Order: sequence, then structure tokens, then C-alpha cells
Amino acid sequence: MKPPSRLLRLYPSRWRARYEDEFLALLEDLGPSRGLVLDVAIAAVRARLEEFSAGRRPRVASGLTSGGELMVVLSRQSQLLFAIAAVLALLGVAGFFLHSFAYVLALGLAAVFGVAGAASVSTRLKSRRMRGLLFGFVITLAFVATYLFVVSGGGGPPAPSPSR
Amino acid sequence: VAEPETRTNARFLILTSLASGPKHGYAMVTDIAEFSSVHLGPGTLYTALQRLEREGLIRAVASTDRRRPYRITPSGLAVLRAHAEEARRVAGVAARRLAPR
Repeated sequence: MKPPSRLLRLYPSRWRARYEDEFLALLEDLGPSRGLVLDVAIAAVRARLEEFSAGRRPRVASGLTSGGELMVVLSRQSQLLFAIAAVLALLGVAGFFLHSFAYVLALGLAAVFGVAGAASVSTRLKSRRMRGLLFGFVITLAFVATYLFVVSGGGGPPAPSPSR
Repeated sequence: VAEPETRTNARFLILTSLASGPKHGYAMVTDIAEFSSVHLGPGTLYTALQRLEREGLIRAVASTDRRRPYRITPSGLAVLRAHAEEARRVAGVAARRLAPR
């Protein structure tokens, strides 16, 4: 397996200008190992968030990317909470399209785990701006889920057509 | 069971490693693994190195090699001493409280 040098593109340009050469040398010395890609990817997200919180805004493609970055950067318990929330949210979306009431329960639980994860992270975030961003992201998700619920008329299987 | 703070704190581990002399990334990773059994990932290592350098606790040593060494600064030594003293004090309290009565 080659060193995950492509992952270095995830780092901010300032970071790469300063550390890229020596970081690649370290990757070559260490060789492939379990968890290496995840470690490098999480560190890249941390570097971007640090740049962001320092006022040097990175070129983030969209708000969704920012939300994804925020979720990846979290510590161990928070990662678990957000992973559970993500799985539940996927199940919820699947249930929505299958017209199953189970999606309401799944989305509700996803929101609970998402808020729990956000609370877990907020205790470690020193920056008020980052805390605001995180909670803004979670609240936006909750609004989108609610909107989907209302638009669908409460979800569930389609009403049977009247018989003649 | 959570790892003890002193073993999982990458900053403390890096400063401890550099206290015995300048080292590049790979030398730090292997040294830390030897004295603490903690295997720092490269991303974790450089996240901590960047912060330590920004805070003036370590400094990059000029080198023509891609493997750039780092050395601890006087401020870094002071922080390490304070951290080690704190860890020793807490460990002492724990040992006393765990001792059979």
C-alpha cells in the first residue's frame, strides 16, 4: 500500500507549504499501517478548522463540506455518537422513501444522538464561533428533517385509493 | 478504561522525547513508542508539532534533509517541568490513596 500522499491535498495550502516535505518523509519511514489513513484525514480536518477559527478562511466548497469536516474532527466518544446518528439518519431517509413509519423513530433518534454528540464536542471547543457553527449545523439538520416530515404529510404508507 | 492523561497527551509525550535532544518525526514516533508504548500517528504528531511550534515550545532545526529535526526551547523545558511536577504530584496522591490501610 502506498503512503496516503493524496490525502495531503486535504490540508490547507499554508500547512502544506510548511510541513509537506517532512510529513511525506515520515509517511515513507512509517510505511502502511492500520488506521494511518484515518489519522491523516482527521489531522487534515483539524488543520483546516484551526485555520478557519484563526480567521484565515479556507476555500470550502459548500456548507455541507463544512458540516462534514466538523463531524470528522470530533474526539472518540463524539465520533461514536455522530456515527450512530449518521446510521440512524440513513435508516430514516430509507424509511421515508419506503413510506415506512419507522423513519420517524429513526430520524428522532438520529437527532437525539446528534445533539448528544454536539454537546460532547462543545465542552472541548474553546472557540465560541466553532460552537455556534456546530450547533447551527445540528439545528439546520433538525429543521430539514422536520420540513421533510411536514411536506410528506406525516409519512407512512400511501393512502389506499377509494374503491368504486 | 481510559488511558492515563500523561500517556495520551501528545504534547507532553513530544516534549518529553525532545528533552533528550533534537529529533525528526520518525525518531520521535519510535522514541515515544519505546518509553510510553503509545504509537502516535503521523497526523496526530504533526498536529501537535504545529501547535507546539506556534506556542514557541519547540523549534525546527535548520536542515538540508527532508527529515527536519525539532528541538525543545527553554519555554518548552519550563512547560515540561511544570507538567512533570504536576503528574508526579497527582501520581503520589493516587499511590497514597491506593495503599493498603
